[in-house]
Amino acid sequence: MLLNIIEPIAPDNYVAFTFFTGYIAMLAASVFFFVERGSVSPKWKMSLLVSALITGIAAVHYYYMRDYNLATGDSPTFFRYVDWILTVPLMCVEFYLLTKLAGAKKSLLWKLILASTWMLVCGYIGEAFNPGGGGAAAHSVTWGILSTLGYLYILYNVWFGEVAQLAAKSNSDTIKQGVRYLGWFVLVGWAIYPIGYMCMDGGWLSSLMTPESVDVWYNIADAINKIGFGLVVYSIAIAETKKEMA
Amino acid sequence: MNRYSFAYLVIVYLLFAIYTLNGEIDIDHQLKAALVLMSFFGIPHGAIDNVLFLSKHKMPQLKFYSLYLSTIAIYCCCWYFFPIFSLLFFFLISSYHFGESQLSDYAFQSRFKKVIYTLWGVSLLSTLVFYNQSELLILCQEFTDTVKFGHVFEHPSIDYLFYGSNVILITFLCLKKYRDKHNIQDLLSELFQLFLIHLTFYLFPIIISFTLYFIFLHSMKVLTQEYNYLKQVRPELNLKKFIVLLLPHTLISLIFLFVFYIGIQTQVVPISLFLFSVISISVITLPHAIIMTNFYD
Repeated sequence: MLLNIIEPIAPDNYVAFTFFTGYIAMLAASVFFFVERGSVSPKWKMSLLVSALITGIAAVHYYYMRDYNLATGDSPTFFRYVDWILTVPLMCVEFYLLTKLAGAKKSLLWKLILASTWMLVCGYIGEAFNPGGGGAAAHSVTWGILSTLGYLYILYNVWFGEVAQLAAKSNSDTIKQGVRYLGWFVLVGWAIYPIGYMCMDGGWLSSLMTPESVDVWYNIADAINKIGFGLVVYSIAIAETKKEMA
Repeated sequence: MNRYSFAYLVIVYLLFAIYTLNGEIDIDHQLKAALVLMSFFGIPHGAIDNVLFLSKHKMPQLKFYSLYLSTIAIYCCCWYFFPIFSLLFFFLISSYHFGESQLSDYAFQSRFKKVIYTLWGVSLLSTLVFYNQSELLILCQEFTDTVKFGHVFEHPSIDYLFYGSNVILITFLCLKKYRDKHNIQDLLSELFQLFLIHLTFYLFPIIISFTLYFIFLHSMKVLTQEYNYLKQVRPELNLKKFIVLLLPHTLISLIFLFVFYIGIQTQVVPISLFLFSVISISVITLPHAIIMTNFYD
């Protein structure tokens, strides 16, 4: 980018600040996970590659979102959903890879991918294609409920369903604890997204946060969820590799 | 997170949707929903006190019922003569009972465990009152026989209790994790549940807030514990038999409540529905809390 077309950024533009830091943090995490593939045993390489892909895909989108936001001042809803629709199913793939050693079947992988895609597609329709006017609330609530069903399915699966049961069966305390930590990311970290959804114009919590604040929270949550998710997977992979080598 | 918190969370998301669509839920619908949930889960969770107690102690049924009903009768008399004291006593025993059930999984050995249970309950009830103070005051002022309770709910000590109990409780939980080297997951689960309670008590009206806690985090948990315990004592027990076991006293309670409701509506019983609700819940809670302490011991 040429210096003469760089937009000036106000020091209190926290949205731009978090887009920039988010972009760099995701990129750095991606490089880290990719390089660290060499430090883990072969069966964990795929998990780290997926972690690197999640943060890598997010970094590219953050690069675009940062410019889009600076140029228009708008919230980059379109780019966000493109990012989420690629990265969230990949996070679900991590659950499959972690529990694969305990006997997870391909069907689990597809169930989680379908649920996450359903959650995001419904969320996108609810947020991006809102007709406005009288039917706005009914539209956003209907699609919000449908989207939440996908979220609750994943949440249940990770905490009490197949993923939790497989983790319990895995004979590895590291995996058991790791899956539980990832469960906390799904429970607490992902909760920001429905809250953000309810903060859109006409939403029940619209008085709670402005669109700018929602963007700041999304950016912080995205960075914590994606990088944190990857770091938990990385720590499991390192711990298990050490065990294998001992 | 446990299954009860998950069920609680699902209902909270559902309420978010209803509130987004409607803006609010009118008091009639709140009461109807609360009544249905109380009938199906709230009342049944205390409907087998006799079975629980008599499975541990050898005592003639007649003696048990006499003691149980005498406790209720004495408490009713207290309500007549000392209403404010009775209300405060109700908060105290409820606090202890809620805390005991909430922390029952921890198997505390400390001689201060009763204080810790009460602290948890005080934090719960003070949070409920703190976030819904104005709603409670309006409710109290609506009936002549409950106006005096308004002084309790607007007393400055509510604020101190709210901040004090929550800060001490969270500090205690963190210190306990550090001292006993407990799994951090237990601490996170406990803090998450506290967060959920604060969120719902803050966002929703008092009837919805309390019903959510009472049904999903208290009654369902206690019902499961009772079922699991009785399953050990009577291996032939299944869900159907358990429901049959719950039915007699649940039905008697519902009939009793219905008769009094009619009595109040026709002004044969000269008290307000609100006061009657508080008194009936409190007098049932006292013997139930005693039996449950024995059960957890």
